[in-house]
Amino acid sequence: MAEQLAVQEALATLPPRYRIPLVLYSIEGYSVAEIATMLELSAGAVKVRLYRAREKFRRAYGVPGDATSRETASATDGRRSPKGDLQEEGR
Amino acid sequence: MSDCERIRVLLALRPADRSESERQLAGAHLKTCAACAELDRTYQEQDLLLERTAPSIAVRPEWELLLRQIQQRRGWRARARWATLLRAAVAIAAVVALVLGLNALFQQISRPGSVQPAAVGPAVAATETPTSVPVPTLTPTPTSTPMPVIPTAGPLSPPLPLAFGYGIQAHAFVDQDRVIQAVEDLGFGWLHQEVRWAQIEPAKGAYSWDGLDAIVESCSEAGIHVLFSVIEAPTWARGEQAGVGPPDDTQDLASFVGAMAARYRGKVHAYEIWSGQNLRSAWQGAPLSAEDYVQLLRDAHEAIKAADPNAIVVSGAPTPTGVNDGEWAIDDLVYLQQMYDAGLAEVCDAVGVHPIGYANPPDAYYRRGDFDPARVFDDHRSFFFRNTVEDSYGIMAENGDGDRLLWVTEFGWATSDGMETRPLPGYDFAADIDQGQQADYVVGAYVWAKEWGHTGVMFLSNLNSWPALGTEDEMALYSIVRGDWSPRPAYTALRDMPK
Repeated sequence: MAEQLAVQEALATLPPRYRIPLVLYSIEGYSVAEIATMLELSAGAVKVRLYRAREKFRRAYGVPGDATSRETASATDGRRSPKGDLQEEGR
Repeated sequence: MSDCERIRVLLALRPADRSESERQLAGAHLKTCAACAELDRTYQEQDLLLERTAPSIAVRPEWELLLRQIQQRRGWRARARWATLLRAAVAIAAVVALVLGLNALFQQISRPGSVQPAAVGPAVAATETPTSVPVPTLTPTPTSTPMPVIPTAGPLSPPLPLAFGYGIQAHAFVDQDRVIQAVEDLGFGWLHQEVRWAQIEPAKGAYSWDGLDAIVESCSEAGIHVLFSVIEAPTWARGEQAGVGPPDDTQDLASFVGAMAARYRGKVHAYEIWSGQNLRSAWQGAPLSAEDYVQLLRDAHEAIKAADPNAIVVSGAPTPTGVNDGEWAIDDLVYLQQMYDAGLAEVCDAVGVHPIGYANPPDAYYRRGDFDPARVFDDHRSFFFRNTVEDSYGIMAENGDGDRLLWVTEFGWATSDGMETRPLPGYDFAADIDQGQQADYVVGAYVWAKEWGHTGVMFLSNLNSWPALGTEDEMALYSIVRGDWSPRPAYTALRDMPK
């Protein structure tokens, strides 16, 4: 149950433009084409958003199965903010 | 987008959703790139994690609500739709946060020191049966209205590699959501935003950051890099002179860009200091002088680096016009050499150029004479993309600066095809090519420059001048979307171009 809450918290840190495609794709099982239709985006834009969503989720949650990495992420909580993602991505 | 980033976009998809060629491409890459292979494993674990925890994720009802919103509002203008969705998302996030908070409180009160499945019952049980979830009201309330987020100086970001990149000029003060969405859709990584100093600091020390704050935050959220191109001194810095030109005291600009770099540290990644400063139109009230310009750049560079050492400082690009009378214009290449004579190499990270293509193809060179008797603006090397790029680099190399990259802070091809008006005088060349040629030329320029290897980020002019400024403005001719935001062929070609 702690894992479920952690996932929930990590998802909640994602901006809607990334959270919605990720939930539709990875949890609900919709295809890229279906999501593109639903959100009125091109398939390419959906793919890019999925990639960025996964990266943001990865940083917010840490590496699945690696409790240490998630604790490390929590310890640097300011860097988990969606607003801080640019720095984290090294762009 | 780098090779690894392109592969990672594929890795974010389930293997079954990749085409055969994409599978082969990804497979070959993973054999040689340990970092991407590791990421691939991470994404697979991510899928397992999300599948495992999915039944009790409290955000599940949220997407249903959002989808309902989308379906109900099809046909609305995109801006109104996204604003509504954002308000709904904030309202739902508030509900989720409230549930989580109450849940945590419940745990603390009823079962201190233990975490039992029943303890998170309220949120979990509700989401396991979505149809039974009480639908939160989506009516915006004052507390659910998104408040503008004012950026504060962030931590230093790692220095960006000075590498090739895809960028575009846009008017992001208007239609901001559409601009961000288009940049993402195009698969571009950089946005070029003009910053008119006179508008941001109308009185000395009194800054008006609101518009820029919103742009920076939107780009930051979307992972888009930003270049600010700073132009136009305020009249208070010019002895109350009217017109567009430099400040009397270069330290006034240094103070402005220093404040800007501190405010947007880590979120604005590059600054171009002035633009077209070899032209009277951008340097009014003072003699055209590369030496004076380099002094302006030197002070600005120092101030920016003091505030954000990893920000990239790009020298202002001289504009090629074919005129070299010293009064109205100094030839762009002559001016660039004068910039080097004044010490350019010590005060910038990249050299800005403006290889405007006029109506000539991106692979054509000026070879004296009239390139095409049926066309105008083709009888001087200034009107040819390749000449401007390669000749500018030639000057850099001659000055021992060949390892530095050119940043193409403005390039593009204008066409009046599809517009109901003729090009303005001076922009007659826009009638010489059609929209299909415009598409071919812009793609051709990117493809060639990436292969050539001496260019950094290339900013196409432009995304949305047509809807933002109307057809009475000459920059609309370069726009890759129409007045109603429907894509011109160049938009589609750039989006589909391999990157």
